[in-house]
Amino acid sequence: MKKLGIFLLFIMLVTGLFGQQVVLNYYYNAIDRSIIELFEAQNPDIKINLVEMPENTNQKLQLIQTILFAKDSSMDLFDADVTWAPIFSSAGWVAPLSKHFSDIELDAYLPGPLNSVTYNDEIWGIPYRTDAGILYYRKDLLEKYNKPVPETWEELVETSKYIMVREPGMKGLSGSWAQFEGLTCNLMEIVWSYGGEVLDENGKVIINSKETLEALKMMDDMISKHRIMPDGIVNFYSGDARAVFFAGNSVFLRDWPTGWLNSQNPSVSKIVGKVGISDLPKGDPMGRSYSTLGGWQVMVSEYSKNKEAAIRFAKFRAGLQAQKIGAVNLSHIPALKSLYSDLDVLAKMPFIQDMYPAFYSAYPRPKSPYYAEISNILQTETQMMFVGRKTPERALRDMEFQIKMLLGQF
Amino acid sequence: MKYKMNKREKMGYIFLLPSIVLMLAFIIYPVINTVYLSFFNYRIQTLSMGKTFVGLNNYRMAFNDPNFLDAISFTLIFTVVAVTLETIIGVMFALIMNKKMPGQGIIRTAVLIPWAIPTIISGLMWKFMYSEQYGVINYIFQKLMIIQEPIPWLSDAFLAGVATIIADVWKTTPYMSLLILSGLQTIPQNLYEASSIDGATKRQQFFKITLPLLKPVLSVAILFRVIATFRIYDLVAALTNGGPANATQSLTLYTIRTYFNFGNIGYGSTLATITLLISLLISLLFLKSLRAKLEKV
Repeated sequence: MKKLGIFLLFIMLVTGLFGQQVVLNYYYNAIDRSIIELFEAQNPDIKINLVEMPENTNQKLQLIQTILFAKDSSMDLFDADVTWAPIFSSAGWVAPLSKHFSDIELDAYLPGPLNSVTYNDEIWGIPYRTDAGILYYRKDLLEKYNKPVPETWEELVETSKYIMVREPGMKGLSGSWAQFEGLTCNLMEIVWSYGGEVLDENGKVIINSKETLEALKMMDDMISKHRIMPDGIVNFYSGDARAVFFAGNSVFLRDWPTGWLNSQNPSVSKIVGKVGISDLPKGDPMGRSYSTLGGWQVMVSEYSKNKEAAIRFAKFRAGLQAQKIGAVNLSHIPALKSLYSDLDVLAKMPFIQDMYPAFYSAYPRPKSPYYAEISNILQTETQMMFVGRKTPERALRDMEFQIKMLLGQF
Repeated sequence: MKYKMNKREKMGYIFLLPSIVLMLAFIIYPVINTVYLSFFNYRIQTLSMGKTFVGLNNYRMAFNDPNFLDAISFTLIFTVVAVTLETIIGVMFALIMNKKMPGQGIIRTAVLIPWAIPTIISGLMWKFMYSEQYGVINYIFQKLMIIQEPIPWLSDAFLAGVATIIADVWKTTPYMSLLILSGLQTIPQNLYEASSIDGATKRQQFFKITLPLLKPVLSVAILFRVIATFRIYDLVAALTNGGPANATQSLTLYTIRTYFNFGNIGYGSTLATITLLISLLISLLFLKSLRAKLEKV
C-alpha cells in the first residue's frame, strides 16, 4: 500500500512538471519519426502522440469517421486521403484552415493536391505528400524487341501481344483491379484518357457517354479478348500487381511511385536495373495522358481542444522540412513544387524530375461527399463486366442509374 | 403476505448488477438505438440537416436493393452449405477422436489447430494458397497433372463462393467436432454393449443409438454455427473483400460498408436490424425444437 502511494505521488509529480505541455494525438498514415523529434525540439510546449491507423484505407476511413461522429475530442489531427475533404467538410467535422495561410504559402503547393483539400471555397487540410498513377515498363524487353514506350492503350495492347508470343510465360499489363479503391483509380485513368467523366463541374452525372463505354470495352478486352492481363487480375491488390511485375512476368505495370524503391531492391525484385517509368498511355492519340491523383493530407479535427497547437503542427508536418525528410527517407512524393529540384530528393528518386508534369497535372477523382459510395458502384459494376455477368453497355447503364439514384438526380 | 428477500438473495442480485449495467450499456442501448435509427433518413454527408423520419421506407428500399438481395442470398446459401458440411465432417472427426487408439492426443491436437488460428490470419493464408500466380493449391494440382490451367479460385464469381465455404469449413469444423465429442462422451457405453449382444451392426448402432442421443448437443452446435455463420464478416473481408463483383459480399460486410464507409447511418441501421431479426428468428426456431427434444429424452 505504501509503495503504491509513493508511486502515485511520483506520477503526480511528473505530470505536474510537464503540466504546461499540450499533448496532441495524431492519427497518422506513415511518418518518419525524425519529423516528430524535430517539431518537438522546436516547440517544447507541444508533445505529439502518434496513433497508428489500420493498413487498409477503407478501414482508416471507418476509424476516423467513427471518432468524428462521436465528437471525440481525443483525436486532434489525422491523415486524410485525397477523397475525404468533401465528406468531412460537409459533415462539419474538420477545421477550416485558409485563414492560417498566406497566398504565397499556398502557392508553394502543387495545384492538384491543393485542389483536393478545397471544397466550397475553403481549405480543409494540408497536403504533405502527393501521388499519381504511372506506367512502369521493362526497358530491356522493349529494347530487345525494338518497341517504343506505348503512347496509347491500343499500342500497349499490341506491344504486349507481340512480346507475349516471343517470351513464354510473359503477360502484358499488371495493375490493381480487385474490388477496392485501387480499381477506381485504374479505371478512372482509362476513362479520362478516352474523354469520359463521372460528374461535370456542377455535380451532374454525365458518366453514360460513348467515351466511357470505349474505356470500359478496352479494359474488358484486355482481360478476355487480348488476354494480356495476368490470371486472377480481378483479385489483384497493389501488392499482387507488383509481385507479378517484380518477378519478371509482365512487361508493364500500372502503379504508384512508391513501388519504385522496391523494384530496385534485389531481395524482392528480379528486374533491378531493367525498369523504366513513363506517363500512362493516352486513349485518343491527340489527347493527353491522365493520372489519378493520390496522396495524403493532414486535417485538424473540429472537436480538438487544442486547435491552435494542432494547426501549428499541421503546418509543420506539411512544410518544407518535413516533406523533404519524407521524400528522402520514405520516398513520399512531395506536394511542394520546390522539392522537385532539390538535389537530395533527386538523388533518391531521380525519376521525379522527368515525371513532374504528371504529378503537376494529376487528376482528382469525382468530388462528392458521397464519393465512397460512388466509388463502390464503379468498382462493383466494372467487376460485373470483368467476370462476364454484364456487358460493358449494361454495366455502364447500371452505373449511371445507381449514381443518379444516390445523388437524387432523377 | 409481503415477500421479503433474504440476505442471500439480495447478495445474488448485487452480484448480478455489474453485468446488467454492462449489458445495458453495450448491448441493449446500441440495439435499441440502431432499431430507432433504422426509421430515419440519416447520413453523415447531411449531418447538419439532421435526420428525417421516413417510417418503413428504408425497409422497403432494402427489399428493392439488388445489392442487399444479392448479399442476403449469398449469406443464406453460404450458411446452409457451410454448416451442413461442418456438421457432417464434425461428426466424423468427433467419432475418430472418441475412439481409444494410439496417438489420440496428436489426432485431437491436429484437428483443433485450425480453430486456434485467428480468422483474419487463416483468411490471408487461404488467399495465398488460392492464388493463381503463386498459390500452392494450383501448384500441386498442376504438378499432379490434374489441371492444365490454374483454377481461378478467387476471380471467378462461383468459385470464389466455393473457396470461401472451404476456408470456413476448414476453420470451424474443429469447434463443431469438439462440441459433438462432448456429446458422444455422455452416451453410456453399456447401450452399445447391450445392442451388440442383441446383434446390432455398427451401422445400426450409429443410426439408432449414437445419432438420437446426440441430437440435443447437435441442435445446440448447429444453432451456434448457423448464427455465427450468418453474420460472417472477418473471413470474407480478408479473403475476397466481397469480390469479385460482390459475388461474396455477405450481409454483414454490406451493412458495415453502408454504415461506416458510405456514411449512410439510417439505411445501415436498417440492414443491421434486418440481420438481427433473421438471427433472432433462427434462434427461436432452434430453441423450440430443442425444448421439444429435451422433453422427449
